[in-house]
Amino acid sequence: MSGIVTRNLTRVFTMRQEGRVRETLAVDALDLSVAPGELFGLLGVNGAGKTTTIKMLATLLEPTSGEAWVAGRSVTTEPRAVRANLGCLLPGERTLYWKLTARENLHFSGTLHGMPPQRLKQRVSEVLELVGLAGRGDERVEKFSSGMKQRLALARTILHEPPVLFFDEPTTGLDIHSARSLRTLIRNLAGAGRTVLLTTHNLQEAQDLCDRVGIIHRGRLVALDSPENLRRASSASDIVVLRFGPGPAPLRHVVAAVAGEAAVRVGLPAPEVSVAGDWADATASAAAEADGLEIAVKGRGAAGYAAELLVALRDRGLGVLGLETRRPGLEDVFVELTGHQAPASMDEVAAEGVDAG
Amino acid sequence: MNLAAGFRMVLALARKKLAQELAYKASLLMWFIFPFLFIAPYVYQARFFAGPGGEGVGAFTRLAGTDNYLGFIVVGATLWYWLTNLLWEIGFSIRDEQSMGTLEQLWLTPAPRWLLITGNAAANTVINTFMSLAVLGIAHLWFGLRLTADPGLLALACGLSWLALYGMGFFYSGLVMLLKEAEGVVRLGNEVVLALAGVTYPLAVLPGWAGVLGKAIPLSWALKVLRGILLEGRGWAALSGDLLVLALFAILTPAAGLACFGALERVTRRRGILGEY
Repeated sequence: MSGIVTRNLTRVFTMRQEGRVRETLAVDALDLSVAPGELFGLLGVNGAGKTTTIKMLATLLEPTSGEAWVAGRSVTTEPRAVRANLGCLLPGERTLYWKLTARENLHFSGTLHGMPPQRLKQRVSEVLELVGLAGRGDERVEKFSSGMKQRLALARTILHEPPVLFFDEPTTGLDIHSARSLRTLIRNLAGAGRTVLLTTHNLQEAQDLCDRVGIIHRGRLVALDSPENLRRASSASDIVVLRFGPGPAPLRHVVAAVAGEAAVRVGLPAPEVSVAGDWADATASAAAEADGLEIAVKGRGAAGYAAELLVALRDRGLGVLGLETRRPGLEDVFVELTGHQAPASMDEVAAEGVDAG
Repeated sequence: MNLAAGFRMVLALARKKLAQELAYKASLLMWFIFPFLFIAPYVYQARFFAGPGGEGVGAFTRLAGTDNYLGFIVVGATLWYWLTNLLWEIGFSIRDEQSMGTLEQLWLTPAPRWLLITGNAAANTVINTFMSLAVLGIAHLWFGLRLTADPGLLALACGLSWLALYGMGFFYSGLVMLLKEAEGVVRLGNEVVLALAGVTYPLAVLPGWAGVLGKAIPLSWALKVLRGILLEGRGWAALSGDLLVLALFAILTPAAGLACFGALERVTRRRGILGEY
């Protein structure tokens, strides 16, 4: 068995603050089963318990109670066997030896994983090639960019060909190209039969990459399914986004009125009209943007109501530049389940236009 | 893990450490100058106390059992220097990994953790041993130090001393990992050893209770045996009792050090502070 299983996995941190002992429940009775060959995403805001979970599974942190198995080995009674079957990419670029070359870093890690010298030499060349660093293998890591360091860290993670891989926030802080190539590598690794546990802030990344995701909130697993099933089961609404050309301020009120009337005609409750990206307050406010006025209409079944709305707007002489219907995304599910706005990096994803391929 | 793989791991750790050391050119300069700078003050201080015509040597001989005061001080200081460097290196290698952010990554490998400590200190042990030999060489060439030894006996005594002193290092590394502080831990340990192990004076000059504590430190026995071999030319029969005690330390200290390291490392993981600095 090369998957991951946790049973009641719990971690409590005890801290002394101003003379008082304070206990924080970081992971609360986590029950999880990741099948061999699955790419599983663990999502949550900062402090939700993702990294604590990874560290317990990687034997860097002792669970307070419960048990976990990685590749069929117990993290508490067989930690060395777990580590032998595991590749773990921790966050931060300081996990490499900067004064050593890329090749030296890989040789060092491979040797500590007990790889035979001949195989190690061959494998180092393979992984350097795989992460696009074949020509830079003999340069010191201190000369590398953040993206190159992260790719080298990934090469080290997969060097000894472990059946289980953990990636903790692998694309945080990377530029668009580095993030894309890293995602492609992760996808390929999962495709090659490795079990992958990925933690990320980046919901689009999880939606695009993962077979299943678990949403962890205050140490508890609050949702567990495929991104598609989570979206389908969500009570979040469909979304219609209309884009108009530049127009006078009253336009938004007119559109709001038209949208309301159109909704009544097709038997929908009055839609929420708001500026795109400001769904929470559900007001009819809007803002002029450089390319015109953008208004989103939100309501159950709104996708089917777009045509009715377009006709109504045309009848009032309001030309629409663009129309887009959208089903709820993982971000909407996340907000619904955790009560949090999507993590900050979501904005970065939107800005960089994540590779969805 | 087989023996060959374990050996390769130690070599890899030593090579990594050496490459890091050599990346800083000032270290090389220090290696060449340091042996003289280290031993000269001890020698001149010893000569000052002995007096220009050796008037003070008589009292020294009564307590130390040898009139070779230069050899006594040089062997003591050199071995203390060797141990200090070992403890410093073991303590700081863990701390360095913690500070660089590489300790967790190192701990993610299936290599036994005692081996990671040993390997990290291996390069330094080699450098350290050469430096110590350089100190003895300078003391011979510059200050006229005369030493005699049975090579086989000397090799055995050095091996036993190495094991006994390395054991102290395991305990140190666990303590540094837990406390996330190396300088204070190592400095305190070194000063205690310097005060109680008879590095620059015979244990006989210590108050009774301090002398008893001194005998509980492996370095005291290493010094006693090595001084017996190098200064007095004593053989197997004369040193058998002291060698036996040193051999016991060579077995017990690493075992106790490893047990302490394991317990302290577990506390560190339980508290979740392994990657913190």
